[in-house]
Amino acid sequence: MKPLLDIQNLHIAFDTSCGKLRVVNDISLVIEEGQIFGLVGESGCGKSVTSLAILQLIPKPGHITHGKILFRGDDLLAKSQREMQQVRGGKIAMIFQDPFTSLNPVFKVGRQLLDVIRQHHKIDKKEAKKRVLSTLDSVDLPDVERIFESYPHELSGGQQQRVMIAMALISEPSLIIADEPTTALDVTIQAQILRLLRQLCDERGISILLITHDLGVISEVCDKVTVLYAGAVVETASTDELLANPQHPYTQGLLAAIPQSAQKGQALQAIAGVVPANPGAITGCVFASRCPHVYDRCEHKPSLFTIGENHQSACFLQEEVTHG
Amino acid sequence: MSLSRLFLGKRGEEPPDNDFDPSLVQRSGWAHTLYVIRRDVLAMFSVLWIAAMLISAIAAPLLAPYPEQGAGRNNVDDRLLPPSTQYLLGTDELGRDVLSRLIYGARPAMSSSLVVVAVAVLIGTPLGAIAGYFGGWVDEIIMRFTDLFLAFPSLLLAMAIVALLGPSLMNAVIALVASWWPWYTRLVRSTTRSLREQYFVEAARSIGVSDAMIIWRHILPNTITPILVQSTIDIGTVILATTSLAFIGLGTQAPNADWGLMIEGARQFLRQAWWYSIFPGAAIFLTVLAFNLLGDTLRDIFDPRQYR
Amino acid sequence: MDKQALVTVRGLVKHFPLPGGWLSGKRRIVQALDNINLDIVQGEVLGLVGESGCGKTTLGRCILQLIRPTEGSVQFDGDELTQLRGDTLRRKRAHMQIVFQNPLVSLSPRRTIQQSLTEPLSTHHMPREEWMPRIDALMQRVGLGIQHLDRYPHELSGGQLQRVSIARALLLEPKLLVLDEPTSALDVSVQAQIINLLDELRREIGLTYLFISHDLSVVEHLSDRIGVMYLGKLVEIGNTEQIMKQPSHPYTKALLQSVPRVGSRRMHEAPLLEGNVPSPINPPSGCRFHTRCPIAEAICQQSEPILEATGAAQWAACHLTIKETL
Repeated sequence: MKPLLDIQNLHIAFDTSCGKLRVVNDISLVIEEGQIFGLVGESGCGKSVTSLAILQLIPKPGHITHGKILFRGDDLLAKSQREMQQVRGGKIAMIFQDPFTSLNPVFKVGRQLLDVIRQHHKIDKKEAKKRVLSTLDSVDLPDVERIFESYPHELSGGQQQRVMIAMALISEPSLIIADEPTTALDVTIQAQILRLLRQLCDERGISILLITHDLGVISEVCDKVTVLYAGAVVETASTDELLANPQHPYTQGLLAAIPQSAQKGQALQAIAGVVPANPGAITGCVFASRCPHVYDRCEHKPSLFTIGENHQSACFLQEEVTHG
Repeated sequence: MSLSRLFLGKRGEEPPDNDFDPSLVQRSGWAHTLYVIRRDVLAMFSVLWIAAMLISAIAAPLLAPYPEQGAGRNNVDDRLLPPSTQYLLGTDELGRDVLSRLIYGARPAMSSSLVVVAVAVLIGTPLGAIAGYFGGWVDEIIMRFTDLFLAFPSLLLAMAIVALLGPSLMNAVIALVASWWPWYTRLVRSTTRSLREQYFVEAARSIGVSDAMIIWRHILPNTITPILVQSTIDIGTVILATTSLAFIGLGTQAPNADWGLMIEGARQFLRQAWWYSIFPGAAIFLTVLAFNLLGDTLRDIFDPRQYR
Repeated sequence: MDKQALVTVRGLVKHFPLPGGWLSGKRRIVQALDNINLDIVQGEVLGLVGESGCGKTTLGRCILQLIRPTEGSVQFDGDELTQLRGDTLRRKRAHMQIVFQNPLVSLSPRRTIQQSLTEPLSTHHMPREEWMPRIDALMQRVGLGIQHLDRYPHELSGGQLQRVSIARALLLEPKLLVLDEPTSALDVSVQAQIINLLDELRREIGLTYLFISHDLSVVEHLSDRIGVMYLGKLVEIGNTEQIMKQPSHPYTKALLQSVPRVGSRRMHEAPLLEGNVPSPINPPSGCRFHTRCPIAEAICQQSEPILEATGAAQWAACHLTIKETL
């Protein structure tokens, strides 16, 4: 497998009236062709900002202070805003959490899709409409002619999200970034959308970067997963490996905190404490303040230790295990 | 983030949804306000100018080079003199120092506008809160009553009332209050209607708090911000209205100093004595502008989209 | 049932009229709740699940009379709540409290935590010298300290705020606590803290919960019984284990199947529920689920099923499962 997207040592900071807030510190990850890559973490872990950084869409006063983002070997961060316009919605497309606010309420769905297609391709109107209709059809929307002529508010949440996915698909991207694409949807609709994403990946070979807070969603659809905590990578592994054999204390805690049928009647394992306010200011391990296994070495920053095939974890405990 | 904007390749403006905790960035209310004002040159100018006008109004006898002339005493020997070291901004047709007249003129301008806005807020706010909170027929009655007042152009309504009560600054103030309070009823009503749907209001109801206490404790404190913004801008507009009334002879009466009255007096001497009309005109212009700018800045500061 | 019912809901109906109907002649109506019957037993946790628009939140509000039901009766602790007005109802509110989904917006933004906490006590004329001891004790119990009392809501984290909301709801020692998605706005690790807290409190004080959530795994963890709602109807109700292991209603089955679970990987296959939830303005005839039901037959379009026993402590409203069990 060759890498499609290679994020190397990404740092992101926000300039605020109280000084520099470093929200992402040294995140690296590799997404390969044809896989669904999960990025999981709780609020404030930096998962959304990281995804926005890929398309140079970080809102002010945030900016990338260091790092490389290679898309098929091409550094996206070296590109001008003009060049990025061709990448956005072209080779890389994005889907957001709330489909309703992502669609313009005053234009018909069809018109919005046509706008996107003609931004990236010089084709005539008839050809464009044909392509829009076939794309709407490919995301399992019924009665595409009617949907084409509908305003966003006339569609249900699930249909809106399908339209968003169609919009992302329209210029045949190699990578779709989906930021909490099912969080605003009901569970039965969520299951439909997740299945659709899985199909797109399997049948068309499109890679998907799926950002979510829900380990259940990760488990159902992702091939590989990276766990973020306070702006840093704590663990990366194939989904099966991570869920069956979590190594980092934070991943373990996160999994134990989910209510599962087996533990009914018992207390859940909660992670004590709160996420650090300014993780960039911490010199040691970012999780040390909440970690049940904390010891003297945690005053230093752990790097990612390889602890198995396709499995890395940023914890000194693992280093000691693997080295003897 | 509107999608078309994103796909057409422009920069998104909204911060990422849940990815960092705003309370980390946010200073306490007043510190934040001061920070924004200090950063913004125009807002800084507005605050300084308004402060200068307020000080002029309060300490006019101490600040004016010729206090007696400012209060109205004639000095006919020096009529219509151009600006000089003796009279910094020249003199008027009765020989009075224009600078002193301007400083004294700040008194009716500032006091009447503050009183008008304050009374309008005091009348408009409770009515708006009651109409917005209870809705139904209560809302219907209050809002139709305000519509009645809003149907007349405000300056015209004020002129009619002054014509009825007789021209004086006091009556001009009464007249302006009558045409200004309905705007606050409307503003507070719409704010209240959206607040009423908030969970903390429902939470208070679920505890068993009475309607009156909910309005007092939970609704009114949250209407202060929009009222503050609106009334700041309104003070400028009311200054314009009181000076206009004075200009047409329905406000401040001679020999008291008033910017509108000064422009009225200067009208006949436009060609001989430019300073006589320019300076009061500039005073009105700058003061109204300052209140508008300050109001806009306050709106930016308190805007929930930025002040999260 | 040997235990006494704290809340008895019979024939509860709630219609919301839509504005602007008079031009088109007929006023359009949202049928948010249709003929709901259920009991909440003293000391139990009744979970209420369903997708958005199913009416679970409206039901919670109607029981507390925060929204007045259109028809039907709600008996609470011997009183017919739908008949109570004004001060009598306000006094009754001390015994039934609610915790909302988003704690940041359910606390007044311009009041300190202490001001928010004293409000229920002053409202119900608690003697002033009892205020602080009570507040201190409860703050400690929910895991907060007195240093949080003079803060404003925006200065606390989501988890801390939800603890404050719970403390406020418990100050008046209520018998019934309605929890409306109390953990949905929280992160998983914090969610676990709040669920544990709610579980402990209920055992210590002997509280009764109506726990409303869209998250089946959370409801399963905390509830003794579960009610499943679809489009304004209660379609199934029964003991938690039975519902989770042997759901009777096809909708319950689909719901259980749709929940993403850690350790499962079914998105390749899974015969999922197709289509979308119909509008409650003009709900389908007969069984409201028939438009999406994988096993629907002709009868489902014509007549409306009622709740009937499908197990020892399990009831479902479905023509076909009833037939099966007979």
